[in-house]
Amino acid sequence: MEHYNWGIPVALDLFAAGLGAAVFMVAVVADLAGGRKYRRISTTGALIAPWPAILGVLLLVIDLGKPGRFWEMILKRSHETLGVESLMFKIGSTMSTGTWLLTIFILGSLLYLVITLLAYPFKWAETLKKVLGVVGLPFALLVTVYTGILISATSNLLWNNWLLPLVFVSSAIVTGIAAVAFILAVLQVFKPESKIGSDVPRLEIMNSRLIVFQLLIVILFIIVGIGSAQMKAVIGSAFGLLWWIGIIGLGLVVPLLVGFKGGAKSPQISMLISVLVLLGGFFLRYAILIGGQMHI
Amino acid sequence: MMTEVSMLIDVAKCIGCRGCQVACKQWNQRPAEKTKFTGTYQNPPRLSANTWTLIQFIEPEDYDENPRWLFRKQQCHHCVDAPCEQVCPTGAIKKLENGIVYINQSICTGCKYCVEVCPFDIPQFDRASGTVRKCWMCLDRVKNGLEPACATTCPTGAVSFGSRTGMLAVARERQNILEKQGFSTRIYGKDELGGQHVMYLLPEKASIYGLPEAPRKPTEKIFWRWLLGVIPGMAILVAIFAYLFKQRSASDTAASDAKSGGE
Repeated sequence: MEHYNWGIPVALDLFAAGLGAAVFMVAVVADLAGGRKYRRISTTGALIAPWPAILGVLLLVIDLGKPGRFWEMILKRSHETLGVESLMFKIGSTMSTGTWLLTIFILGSLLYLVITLLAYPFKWAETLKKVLGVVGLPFALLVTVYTGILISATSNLLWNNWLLPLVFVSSAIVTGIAAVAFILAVLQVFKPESKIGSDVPRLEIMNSRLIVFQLLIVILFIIVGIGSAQMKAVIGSAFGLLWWIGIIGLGLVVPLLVGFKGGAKSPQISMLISVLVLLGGFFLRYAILIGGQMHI
Repeated sequence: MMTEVSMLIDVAKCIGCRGCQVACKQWNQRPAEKTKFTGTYQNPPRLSANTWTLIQFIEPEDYDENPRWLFRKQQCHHCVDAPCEQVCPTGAIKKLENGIVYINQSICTGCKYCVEVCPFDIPQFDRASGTVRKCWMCLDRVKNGLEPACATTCPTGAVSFGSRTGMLAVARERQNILEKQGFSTRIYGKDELGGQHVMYLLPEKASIYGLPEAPRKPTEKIFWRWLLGVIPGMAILVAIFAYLFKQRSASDTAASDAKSGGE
């Protein structure tokens, strides 16, 4: 089997970090747009946002050649004495920027989770939650962008595509909405008498509009990159099946059609549709990450 | 203040003996690799964590009309504007005052970002050590007034080493000779990526030798790429906000139902 520099753990991180940050953004925007009326969306989002990003960071650390040295990305050491000199931060290195963005996002989203829970008994926490949400929004957005910049600012012919960051940003938001819809649909299945899943069709309808945009961006991404042999391989070889059926067909077109028909008819179908969107989002990262490293 | 050093690779003088490959392995104590014969003298097939320099054996595409066998010594170019150094998130890659770009093995975490960023595909991940390795222009030798092992061993003068100004002068002199013989030449690395500390005197087009004609720093337009992600991303968030805000009244009933149902 071919050995890839960046394999499945990195693909999972690109997916999970973007997903977590997008869930956070959906939670905050829902809270700002509707307050108590969208409490189910915002609370669900706040509860799940930190975990995918934490998982992603753990996977990245495991994927290092020397996982025990992960802290070298946080603390700068002197080349002469090997003593710690200062904090490590390099604006020109997307991996360094990403390390800090992920760190700030994870800590911030954990705090947001606590404050969201506090806002149920304590009124003062409601305002604090809104403030922290607004402060956190740019960091969350930058996390989703970082996943694309990281691999786009390389010499890799498939990745070095100016549309790649946007492909990942819009995919992150689409999967983020699907993740919230998935949890709400699952809760609805477990508590059939409740109305907990009543926002799900709304999320599906909203997501179908975003998926139209996502499809356009993905098509543009293919057109911009079609000159490279890697792109031809990704959309034409065995990967092509994953690309056209898994990512575009099941991951985007099917949820789009369901959304335009007014949402799924039952929470069970909603669960399935959300899973398709989430799998499509992961396969998108996987196909691009691995496809770019194939020796052609 | 150390003087800026450079290596000049005069590919027209290379006879493909691969003495440099052996000298590099010996001095830097890199083990040999088990390889298979694939019909070319190029061996190992590509650079690796244990092979920091490699003679490429090239039969150009127009070989039938103009038969010639070309050799190029592949190795780190030690760029002035080194992309690997710029993206290294731990600072393990350092550019020295004398121009040498080296990876500190006690700091490298093996994230492999430099591997993906280098326009010449030079740094290689070492699975045994968990770090990335590449040519360090025999820094230990250079510090002690010696030439790198490959330059010392080269029997034809195809690899020479000295101050950057000195090497440029030699390159120009040789350029004149080759031009008189009818070759159109290029000193590759004189200006590429801010100038490089390994320069090639090429008597043919760079692409024939497997070098990018105009190597680009992959990070050069990074700010615009951030913007291209951030601005549409913000637009999407505004669209979500607008949609949810408009739908607020529609969700009033659902919200009051939820309240009575006990959240």
